Amino acid sequence: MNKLFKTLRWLLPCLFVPAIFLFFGCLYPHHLHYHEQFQLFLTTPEYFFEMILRPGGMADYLGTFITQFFLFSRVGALLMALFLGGMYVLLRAISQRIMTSKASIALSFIPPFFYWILLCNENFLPGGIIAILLPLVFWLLSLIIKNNKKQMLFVFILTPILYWFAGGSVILFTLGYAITQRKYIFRGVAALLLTVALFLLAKVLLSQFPLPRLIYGADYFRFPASYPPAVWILWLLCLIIPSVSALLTRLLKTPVRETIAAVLLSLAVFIPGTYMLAVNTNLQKEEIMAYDHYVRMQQWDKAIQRADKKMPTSPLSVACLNLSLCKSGKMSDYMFWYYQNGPEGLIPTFTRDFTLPMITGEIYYHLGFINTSQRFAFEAMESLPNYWKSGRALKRLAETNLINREYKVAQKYLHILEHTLFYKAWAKRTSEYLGNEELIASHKEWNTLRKYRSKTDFLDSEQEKDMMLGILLQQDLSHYMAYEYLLAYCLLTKDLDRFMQYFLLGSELRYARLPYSYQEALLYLWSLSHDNPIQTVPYPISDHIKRNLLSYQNTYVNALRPEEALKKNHANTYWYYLHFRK
Amino acid sequence: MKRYRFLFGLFIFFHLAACNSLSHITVTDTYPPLYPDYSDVTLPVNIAPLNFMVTGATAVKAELLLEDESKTFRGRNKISIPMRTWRRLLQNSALLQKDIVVSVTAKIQGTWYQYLPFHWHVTTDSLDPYVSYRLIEPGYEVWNTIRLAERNVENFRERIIADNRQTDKRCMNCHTYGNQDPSLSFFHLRGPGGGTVLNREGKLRKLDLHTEELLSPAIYGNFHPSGRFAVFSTNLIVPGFHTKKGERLEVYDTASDLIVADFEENVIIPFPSDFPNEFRTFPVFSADGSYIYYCNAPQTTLPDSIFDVRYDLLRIRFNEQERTWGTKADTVFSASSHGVSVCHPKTSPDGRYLLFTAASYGTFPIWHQETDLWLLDLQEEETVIIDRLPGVNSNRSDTYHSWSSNSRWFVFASKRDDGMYGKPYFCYLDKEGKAHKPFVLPQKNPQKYRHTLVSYNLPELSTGKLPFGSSDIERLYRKTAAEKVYLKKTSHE
Repeated sequence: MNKLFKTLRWLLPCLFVPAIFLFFGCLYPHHLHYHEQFQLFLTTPEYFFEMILRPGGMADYLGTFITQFFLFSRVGALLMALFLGGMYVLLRAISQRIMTSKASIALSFIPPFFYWILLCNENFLPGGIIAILLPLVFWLLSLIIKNNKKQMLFVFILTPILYWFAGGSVILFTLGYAITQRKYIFRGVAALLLTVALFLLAKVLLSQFPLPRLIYGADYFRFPASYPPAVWILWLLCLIIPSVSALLTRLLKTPVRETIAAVLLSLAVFIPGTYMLAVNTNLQKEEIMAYDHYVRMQQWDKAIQRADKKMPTSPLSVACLNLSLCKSGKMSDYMFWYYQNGPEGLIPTFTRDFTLPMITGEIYYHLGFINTSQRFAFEAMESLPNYWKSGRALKRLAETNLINREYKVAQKYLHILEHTLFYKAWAKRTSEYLGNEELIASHKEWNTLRKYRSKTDFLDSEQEKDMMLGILLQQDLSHYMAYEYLLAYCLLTKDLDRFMQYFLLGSELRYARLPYSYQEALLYLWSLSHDNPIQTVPYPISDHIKRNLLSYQNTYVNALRPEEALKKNHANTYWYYLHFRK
Repeated sequence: MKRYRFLFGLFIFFHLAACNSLSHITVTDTYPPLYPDYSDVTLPVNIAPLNFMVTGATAVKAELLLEDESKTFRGRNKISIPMRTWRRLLQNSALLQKDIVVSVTAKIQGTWYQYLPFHWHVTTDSLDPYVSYRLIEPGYEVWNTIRLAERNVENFRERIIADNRQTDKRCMNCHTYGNQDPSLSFFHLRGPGGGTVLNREGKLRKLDLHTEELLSPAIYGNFHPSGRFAVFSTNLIVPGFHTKKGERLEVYDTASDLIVADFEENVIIPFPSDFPNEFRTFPVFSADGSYIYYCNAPQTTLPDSIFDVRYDLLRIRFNEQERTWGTKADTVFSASSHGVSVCHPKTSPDGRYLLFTAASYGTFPIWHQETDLWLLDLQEEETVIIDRLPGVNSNRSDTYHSWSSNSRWFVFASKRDDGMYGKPYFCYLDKEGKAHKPFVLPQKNPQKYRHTLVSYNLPELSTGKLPFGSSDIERLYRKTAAEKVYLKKTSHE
């Protein structure tokens, strides 16, 4: 039995920590990228002081420090595994200090497992782990101190400091101390009163923050005005588990019983925990984040490869895929090979949040709507509910201002980015471009975007995206991307009259052959008004598309359920989208 | 061995000292690359120290010379002047009526440069000691933190008087004083639980300046000198976004009108309905309260004709006793005939001048790079004399101005630094009406403006400290219901 317990003791952590690493490294890596893009850790003293000027600020500071490494998902996954594993180690050590208990070994996994499940929600911040770890470390240290008076002194001196560093989770430290003070109840009560007094004092000193915010302290959640009960539950779990361990030791008097309880508790923790993790894992969001990441990093092929494995369906994923197809020169041929989500899957309409404008801004940027892209980056950053800054948005703002020759503003953003770990090199390189027209002319992307950007002034209108694209195209009739987006917009809105009208604008573009989706649309349009379209169509339509149309028409007319019947062989045609997609 | 080490150390020390000494100075005939640009400016005797930095410098020395008194300051890349020394220097300069001469020497890329000295002219015409402004990131439709702040211009103390983090992220409009008096001011807090926050005689009230007959709640406004009334515009505002480089945001009205609010009887006095249906906005009272100046444009289709909308400056009588508007409006300045649009007129407290913003079109000059301040002399009844203030304006937006109580200073928000982030600049207008080179509000750390991501909107000067803080605003927002107002039926003489 003792051997079994010993096995459990090393086996459980050895399974737990790598499982976290694999989860975040392989299954959920883009959630880590998502976190990274909505924060900006600066190495400046100003940033440090700005962060630590409120309770929990140090935890947030360290949290953003860690989160910056999430730019590299494997490193982020490793950090998550280490920190959640560290939470287990601390809780186990605290439990052992209070009373040695074999049975409770699995119980110490509950809080880190719980936090892991919380992190499946992209709005729970990884930095919150720091706010938990700090009081646990000091709780453990207080238990190491044998001398009662020294221990009391340690707790009373450390409580205000810890409150300032970690926020309300200091309660783990003071209440933990109170629990262990059976002989000196007053000391425990005094420690608790001190904590409450600190909360109230903070409210007096920092009147701009509501009291719950000051009790909460650190940013566990992206929306600072929300106080999810899950955080209180987490604190409670961290507090009661060491106490439960002590209780178990008293109840289970023999080593055999303890080992059996340890096995049963391990099963009781890990089976529901794994189930809850599976339930809370949101792979649909992970998919959107993945596409967003590929677009951000301009990894167009990866986006297409992902779509080839599993067809994206959400408008944002489809919008990213369409951008990737267009940047790879495949959109006009193959966009209907993938699920299309209407015009919202081409250029999503602006909403006041921090996710959508960031993605849509990428599309506008590559199209050459530099002002619109700048606006979307700015609005995305402004929409961040926790008032943080975004490295990704600042980078884009620096680029758009550079393209617009607003060098001083670009310099301001680059100057900020120079105080980061991972944007520094880019910012320094980009600074050399400021005001250097020759250097910018040698930059493929920026020079092209300067060429394509809007030269006439008009007020942009999201209700008339085709008009905007049309104006952009008319300024430069060699702007393939504007042309393809314009026609794609007409195809997706099923406005074939406008498609026909805009199609003619492409006379200066040099396609080796007409793109497939255009061929399908043209042939279909022609067939509407001509008896023998296959023979009479004046456009260079390939034979297989002509054959396809005949087969499509045949099935459409004769099948009982044409939608079902056409799905197998014609779902990748524009005609299928036109007739059956809403 | 120890002796050799000591000698070697001594050699290194003197070698480095020699490298860093000022013995090899390159004298240039240019002004130092100061940030902010404080060269040759006129200062009020009560301004905080003009700390500055020299761009690209790794060591700076500044010598401030006043007659035979000289003070030298050193820094790595910036010069910070101690408060006590600064005050004495300004007072002596004003007393002696002599300029302070500033000589700057800076080490840039290993070489010391001696620049041309510049002057600080100190005037005994004080600046009102407080300035309030709205700190906001220069966004489009979305806002994050919005704070109204009050800064003591005599030192570096800044105080937050309203913070939207305490009011559920509600939008807050800029803070406006009446008569530069800290016990008379208002600002609008938008959204549910909001209203017009009125600070009158030290008491805070919240008013819902809206009735169903009005186009919108009160927007741009200005106090009557008595403090009993304020005139506001009501506007149906639509934002638009430019696509061309250099342009950013356009905000236009599809309808707008004027109202006067009576704060004693909670009554709204609407603009007479028998006037033609036109766009009317940016109203202000004349210094004596007998006239209301406002901007007026004929109605047109928007946004199609946005580039052709130009507002003229008009004025209409207001009878304080009868609480009535006049029956005819006079054109004070036909801006449209000059190809410009008037925005934000502000009359000087002595009644002599009217300072306004001239943009090429529209009603949102803050994002118009061509926007300039123009000064109209109201003493000349017959002819319109406009000073286009060439020494004051920049090639970026200069607007959102307000007067000091002695009419010798005005403050305005300028985007001259980078075209994006507005900062408060102070400008001296001497007795002859000559405007001097403006200077930016000094900061303890002159680098602050380079790092900040907020704009300083609508700076307004005041003779004292406001009697409320952000917690008072939070209480008012959460615990006080907005007072209702009623529409007065007959509104003209």
